[in-house]
Amino acid sequence: MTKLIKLDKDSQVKVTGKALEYLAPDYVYIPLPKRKEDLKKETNIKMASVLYNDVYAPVSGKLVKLETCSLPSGKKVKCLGILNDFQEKSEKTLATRKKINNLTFKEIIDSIYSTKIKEKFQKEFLSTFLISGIDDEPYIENEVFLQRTQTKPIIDILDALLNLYPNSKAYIALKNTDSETILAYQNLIGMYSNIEIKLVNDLFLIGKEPFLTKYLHLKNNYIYFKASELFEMYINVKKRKPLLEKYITVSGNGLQNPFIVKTKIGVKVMDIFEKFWTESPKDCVLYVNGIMQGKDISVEDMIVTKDLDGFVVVKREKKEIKKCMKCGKCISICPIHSNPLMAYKLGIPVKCIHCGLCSYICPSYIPLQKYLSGEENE
Amino acid sequence: MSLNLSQKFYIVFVLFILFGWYKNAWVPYREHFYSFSHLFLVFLYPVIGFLMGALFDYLFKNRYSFNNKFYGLLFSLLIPISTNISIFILYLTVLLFFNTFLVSPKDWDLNFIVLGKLILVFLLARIGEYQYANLLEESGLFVYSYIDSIFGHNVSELFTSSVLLTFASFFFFCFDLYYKKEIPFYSYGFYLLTLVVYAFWKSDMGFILTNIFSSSVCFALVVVAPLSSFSPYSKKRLAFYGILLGCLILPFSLLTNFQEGVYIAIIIVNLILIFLNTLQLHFIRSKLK
Repeated sequence: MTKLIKLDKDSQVKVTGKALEYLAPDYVYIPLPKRKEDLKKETNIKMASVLYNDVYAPVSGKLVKLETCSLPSGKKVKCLGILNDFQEKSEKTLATRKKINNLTFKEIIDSIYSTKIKEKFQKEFLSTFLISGIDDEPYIENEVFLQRTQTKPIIDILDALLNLYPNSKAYIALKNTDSETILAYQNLIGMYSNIEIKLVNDLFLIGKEPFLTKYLHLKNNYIYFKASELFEMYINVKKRKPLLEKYITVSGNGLQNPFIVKTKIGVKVMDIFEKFWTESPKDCVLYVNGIMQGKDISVEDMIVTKDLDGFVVVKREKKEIKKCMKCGKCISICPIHSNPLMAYKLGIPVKCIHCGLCSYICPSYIPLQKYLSGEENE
Repeated sequence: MSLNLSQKFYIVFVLFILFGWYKNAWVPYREHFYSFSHLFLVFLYPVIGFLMGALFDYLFKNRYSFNNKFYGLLFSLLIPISTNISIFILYLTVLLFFNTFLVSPKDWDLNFIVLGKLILVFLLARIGEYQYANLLEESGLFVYSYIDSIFGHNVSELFTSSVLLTFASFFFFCFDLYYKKEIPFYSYGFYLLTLVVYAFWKSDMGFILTNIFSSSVCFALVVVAPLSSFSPYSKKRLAFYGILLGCLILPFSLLTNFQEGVYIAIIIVNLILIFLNTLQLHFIRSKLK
């Protein structure tokens, strides 16, 4: 496997303090699949009610409009606008479970709302739960923040899962530079003999499943979760409701005070910015979902979705794009052994995980990632 | 402040120029072999090379990291001392035109600097001006020791004589991510191997000592062969390129001499690389169809 690298980043940029909250928006917008465009206006919606597969209403209120919004990927979609009535009326009120570590497999699986998470439990033999507490992007700290503030819930759900599989164990992978999270876990896991912390080097992409399992020499019989997925499961199982909120990081060296916001899914990004963004950074670029794997696209009508991790504001650097000098670093750095030069020079499609490493390493500042995703052609 | 690879090359070139000036201008002038004006004449080559390259870059809006400025300067380091300044200007103009309108836009891997040097040497030989030694070296009045030659007192191109500086440059470049250090590493290693084999075959161990620190070979392997635009970029090809180059230096040096042998080896390996690239491209395109 290719050796992963440590990225150069501004170590001064760190999110401190508590998360800001934006949980009572006036409107939320839910992307609509085409077949659901027949949803009638003025329909009353209850919070957490199913709108369609895996999509739940983040607030209670009335369907008032259909509006075109953009997703974090940049794609424009029709969205359903729900006017919040601030009543927080739920579909059905199930009591919060007092204990979750004595639940059966069926009870837990039935409580999980996300199909994606449910599918992970289809493995017949399971010996290890691998939890990645590592964010995939520099300056984005959702996973780290979540673990620091929600350590107990994460351990609780993990304990409940471990009880389902006798003799199984759990590894929580953390970056060895993340002392606060390590400390938060160490204070709790003493009584759980089957939960272990695995410290990994501060390398880019190390939190992703294929690289983390390789790093920890795990081959089969494991289930991989992000810490945020575990927290979602905790909310599903313990509180018996879907997770309707999301943490979003707004950070980068272009901001003096980076922050994390806990917000309802479906909120317009500009509403969050108007409320919390007090700075007016000059000569900066805003990247959606990070500087490596994200894009510098307009956030004018963007909404918060499950795929949105945050925004990175970086100072604009005057880098003149030069012609390729054939150093070949984009090839040697590619974690999946692809050949980005092939896509750039010959327009031949190559496999890509859009990690952005080829663009990062290029001494000629060629945005290779754009050529790989077919956004730009010479 | 971090320097990019081409900036590091410029720093190294300045040191080479200063030493070349000391060896080919100052020392012979001190010993009364050249007039005072020669002190400035030697400097003119790199200055003209750099300025002409800059003019080409300005006129034809070059967007390469390694541009005509760089190549103009590099070429001036590689010429024989006997090169007439007007021939140099004329020849460099042709070379820069060749790069600007053919090599760069067509993205050829052809090492035009090496090809240019070989053709220049051939032309100089044809007009009877082929000479690497300065007047002091030619006179044979001074006999330099082995250590002197390592420090740079030996017959070589205009500004490439210091072996010690070449090795120091190699270590300096090795810290740069984009420098293809595998090429000098493999090629020098295999060059040494061929030297040893040849010395054993001829039962002449002195041959190893004489040629192990050939300034032309060392400079060509550290600076010219790993130039990004004309060398391979995949790990396997880098190794292949380096090994083949290392193996070919000695045979060609024996056929010609150590000043040109290494450059003939570079151009041959370079042509093999172009052939392999074309073959691969053809294969990929036919596969896609």
